[in-house]
Amino acid sequence: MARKNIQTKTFEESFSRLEKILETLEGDDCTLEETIKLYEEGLTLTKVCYDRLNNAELRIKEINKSIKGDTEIKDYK
Amino acid sequence: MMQENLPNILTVSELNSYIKLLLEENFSFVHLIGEISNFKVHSASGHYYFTLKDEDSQISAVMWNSRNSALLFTPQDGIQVVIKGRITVYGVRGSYQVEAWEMIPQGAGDLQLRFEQLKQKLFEEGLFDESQKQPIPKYPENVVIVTSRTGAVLQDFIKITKRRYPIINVYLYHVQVQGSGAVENIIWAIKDIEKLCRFNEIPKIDTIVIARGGGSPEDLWTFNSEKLARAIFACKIPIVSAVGHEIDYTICDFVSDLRAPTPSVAAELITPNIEELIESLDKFSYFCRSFVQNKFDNLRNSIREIQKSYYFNRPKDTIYGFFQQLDEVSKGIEIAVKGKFSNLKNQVKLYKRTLHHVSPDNNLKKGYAIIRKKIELDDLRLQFEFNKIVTRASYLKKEEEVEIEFHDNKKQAKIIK
Repeated sequence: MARKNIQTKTFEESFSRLEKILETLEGDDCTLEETIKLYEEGLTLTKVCYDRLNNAELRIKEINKSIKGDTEIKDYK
Repeated sequence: MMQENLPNILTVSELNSYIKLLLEENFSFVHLIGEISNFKVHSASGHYYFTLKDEDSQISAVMWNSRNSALLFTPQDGIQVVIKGRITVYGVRGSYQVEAWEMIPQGAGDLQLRFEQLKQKLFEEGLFDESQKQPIPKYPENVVIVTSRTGAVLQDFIKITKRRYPIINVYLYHVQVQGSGAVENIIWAIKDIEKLCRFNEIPKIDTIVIARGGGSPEDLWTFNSEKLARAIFACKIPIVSAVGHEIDYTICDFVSDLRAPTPSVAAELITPNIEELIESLDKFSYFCRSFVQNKFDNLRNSIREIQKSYYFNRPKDTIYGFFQQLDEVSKGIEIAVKGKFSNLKNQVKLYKRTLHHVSPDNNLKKGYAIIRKKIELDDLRLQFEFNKIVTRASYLKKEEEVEIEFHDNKKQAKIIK
């Protein structure tokens, strides 16, 4: 369940979650159980983020309108 | 007499005073058309000093700070203006100049005026308010660039996004960026993008960039359209305006959620830098690990401390105390019980001895004898074993058989008398 959530997160969500985790870990109110849980989540998220960054390739698409007003979206060039 | 023939000699000051009076009286109100040149703003006072000229002639001009602050545009060299004012003479230098009260640009300057007036109007309506600006997403997934599909702007934009943040999807919405129809074209594009998002024909768009390369003020005029400004203001998707060069400001820039000086800078403003992100991730991994490591170390140390602490060890002491007490008590019990037993044993021994003295057996040894007779059950007249001890002589009749038990044996006897 949690794993699936991690995979479907946008990069922004993942990244801000990471920042949040770090902040929580830095704080003093974190129990041991929470620390371990957050640490695991953080590692998974880091991996997901790394993967996304390392395998990224810019995709460019063009939105075309026909004379009738229909929309066609195709790869640019 | 001589003096009467002499010409009337004036001092310089006197002459300048006459001229001043003459000119200022006769030209106390003039309308003057000319081109601005040599325009300067005095840095300290804010007064405008410039020259107004036509093909053949020129005149110095001044516009005081108190007047020029009401202008809706900043005058520039080369602009044709109509000035309303008067002629003044500056006696100190013996020069005359036009003092301008109002200035209305003509031709190209007219665009400037319209620009300033529209800017003022929209500003007063609150279209430029910071509170109305939408934040630009830090990590966009999908962006649309509204620009011409031909031209360097798009290529520059793609190049920079590719380098900085290749994660995103870039959508190109081709529009005409100048000339008649450009305004409607761009307005249509903005509305269409919102519509396409709403009907899920394209994914959720994080940012729209409206871009155009540099050009003359007339070329960029499209981006000073009031209608376009209102369309940008109404758009729910954050819009970045990237029109012309750094020095070019358009209404579009003011009303957009963010102004980028150039299209290339726009590409940088809307994307995070992938290298910085990777660096942050590295840092995160490192910090995350070290925090957790520290936490564990700290906890481990705390546990050790607690184990060693006096208070934590007190229960143990108490337990040992109880043990000791228990041992003492149980020893006491043992001793007490043992004592009691041996007492009882002794007593039993004593009783046994006493009993021995008085036992029948002992008495028999001394010469006593036990006489038994047979029991007679009256009604049946049956005789049994010798089983009834005779304790009185009167219990025995003449001729009755008895058994005498001695220490060593038993003997049968008969009563004679």
